Amino acid sequence: MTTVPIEKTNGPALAAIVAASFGVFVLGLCTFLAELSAGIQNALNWWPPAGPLVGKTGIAVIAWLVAWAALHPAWGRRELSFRVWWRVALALIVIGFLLTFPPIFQLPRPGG
Amino acid sequence: MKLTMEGWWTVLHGFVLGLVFLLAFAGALMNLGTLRHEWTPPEFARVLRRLKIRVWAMAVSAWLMVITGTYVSYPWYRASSPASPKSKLLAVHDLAALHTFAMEWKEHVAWAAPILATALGFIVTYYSAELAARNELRRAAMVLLVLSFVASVIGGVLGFLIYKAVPIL
Repeated sequence: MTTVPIEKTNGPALAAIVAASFGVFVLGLCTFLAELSAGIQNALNWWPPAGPLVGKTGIAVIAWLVAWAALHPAWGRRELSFRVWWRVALALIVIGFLLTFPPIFQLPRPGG
Repeated sequence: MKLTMEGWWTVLHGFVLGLVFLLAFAGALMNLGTLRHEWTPPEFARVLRRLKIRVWAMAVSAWLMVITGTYVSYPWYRASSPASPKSKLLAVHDLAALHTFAMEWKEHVAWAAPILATALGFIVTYYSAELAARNELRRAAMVLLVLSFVASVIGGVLGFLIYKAVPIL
């Protein structure tokens, strides 16, 4: 039998999970917002050959990394309520996934 | 049959990297689901090592899939020329949904896969053996693993349907 003592706090795990779920949420939010106006579409068009997709995914990746860089040191040594933060993370992921679903994010389109 | 440059990139993006991701997912799911501290230390260490390799293989292949998809294949797909896959799909009423639904879902949701897989890779590496004793965290890691897989599979299946309608050879 392998003895496994629990020595680390759950803060770093929750920081990684919540930051990733925030990234997924921002991905969905950018996908939805891009449909609201041509101005937002243009602002997200960071690389014309691939269109606004680069801006949407770029912002999501930046949001994820910034959130992780902020949460990891803040929660690194703390033992947090796993149940609460896990639910927050799942909610962000579900909303993010839903906002990337075409029948939802295309709602603002004319005839959408 | 000789493949064009676009065809080779499609093979790498959808088939090679997709297969690596799929195999790594299956192995990681088995390792995470069966990680037990009742095992002997050598057996435990072997499974843990394989788990780390597999979750990072998932993360790396998922990143390479979305990067090649967005920065290499997608510009060809959406080119304004009538010969581009997007133009061909939109030109046929029955195929238009493969762009307006399939491609538009795939191109966005697939980016969730590498983000979730990287968080999973960090958790497995950071907690390592402690995962066997932390049921709550191990279950959460399994959910992240499955969600990353779901995002990637949506991209893969829809990409296959698009490829079948407008093959890139």
